[in-house]
Amino acid sequence: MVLITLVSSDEQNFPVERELLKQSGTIETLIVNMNLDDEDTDAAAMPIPLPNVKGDVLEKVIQWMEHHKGDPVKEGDNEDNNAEIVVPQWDDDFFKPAMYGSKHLELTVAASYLDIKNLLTLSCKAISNTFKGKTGPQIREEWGVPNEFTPEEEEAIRKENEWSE
Amino acid sequence: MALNILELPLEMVAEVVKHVDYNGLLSLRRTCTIMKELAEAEAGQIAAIKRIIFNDHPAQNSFQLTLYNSKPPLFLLRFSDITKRWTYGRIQHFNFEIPNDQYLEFLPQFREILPTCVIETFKFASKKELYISLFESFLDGLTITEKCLSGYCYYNDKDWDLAYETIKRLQFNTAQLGVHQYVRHGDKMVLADVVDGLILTRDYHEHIKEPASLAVSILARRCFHLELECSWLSEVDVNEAVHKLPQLGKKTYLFTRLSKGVPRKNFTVGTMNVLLDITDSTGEMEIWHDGMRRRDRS
Repeated sequence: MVLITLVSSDEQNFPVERELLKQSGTIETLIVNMNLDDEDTDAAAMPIPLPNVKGDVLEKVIQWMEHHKGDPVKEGDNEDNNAEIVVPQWDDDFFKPAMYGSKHLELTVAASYLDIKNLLTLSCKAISNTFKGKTGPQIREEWGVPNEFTPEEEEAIRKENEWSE
Repeated sequence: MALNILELPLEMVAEVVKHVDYNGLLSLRRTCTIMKELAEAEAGQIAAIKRIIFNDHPAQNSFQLTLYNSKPPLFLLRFSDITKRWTYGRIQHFNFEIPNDQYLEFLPQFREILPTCVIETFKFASKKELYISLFESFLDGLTITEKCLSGYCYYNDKDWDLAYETIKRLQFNTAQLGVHQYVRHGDKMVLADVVDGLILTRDYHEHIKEPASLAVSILARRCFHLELECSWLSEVDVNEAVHKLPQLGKKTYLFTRLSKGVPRKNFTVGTMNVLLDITDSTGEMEIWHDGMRRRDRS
């Protein structure tokens, strides 16, 4: 089993099975371009620095990739069906502890940076699921969005929404 | 402590918003300016409009908007403009009563908030230059599957010339018009050269003479979809249509009514498939040639 070492922004090393990393477009491109796949060269032993991902987040990413090993990688966007995507139970449980916290957002950013399409989709969907059945002020509170509307603006938007709610 | 979701890069927030359902989008509009803008942009992308109808008749609601209920767009029209709202199945209907003198202001505003989505049908019923001109710019750049000139008051040569000019100016691809006796003459059927579909309804309680010849002459032009409601066909007329239409050498569709006949269902005549459903003395009839079958007059 070929292991490749990922190095987080806080200098933590994570030896990861080569096969898992195929889920990450960013790392896959690096491996191919730098010839890290070739066990006969020194390059194979070279760690891959990920300066935009912290250790605790990278750990979660690897945990997610391990669970989804062998899953088909999503090709391109399928925007038509975004609202109908269902987050599987395992992923729901995986995201839940981090919900409303920096972890989930950092995980989402990491998924984008590492180009792990399935993780990005499910992570975004999990965030959007938290909006369900919530009012604007409730979403603001849960996701730490400051209220920048004046009472007049709030009233105007409420009226605009009125006919369609 | 909760982290502000807006600390995500904007494109990431937009990615999240893509997954939000319609009610969620309405809630997001009330969180903050960025979310409001993203929700509105996304609502435009998921929008689907079934029908927009404009009618300048004073006795009717002038503007009617019909939306699919499953994925409605986020329209921010003035609530006070809506005179009636009802839901039928998956479809939501909205009627707007806009005074004539306010159209100059209303139409550009409405056009601005129209999302870049496909509009299935646009129906327009007016002979007034003001509205023709207004809608000329309104329609520019919109994607509309069926654009229909609709009206029942094209009584004379001048009216039919106006209908022809309006169809060309607004680039309608169908027309639904009341037929006066003038229309049966070939020179007026020049309309059939500029539209794909024609629905001819009856005016003055007067049946058109030789309706089968009329149908064949219309379908010999650009028009390939004809609904002939202006006159009922006898079985002799049906036979004439059934034998002449294949000679046109193109796909054609004719919907009409039979004046009388024996109750019966489907049958085939030569290369024509004829769906016949005669109940009592009258019945509806569809004739389609070369596999074409389309009938949607909703």
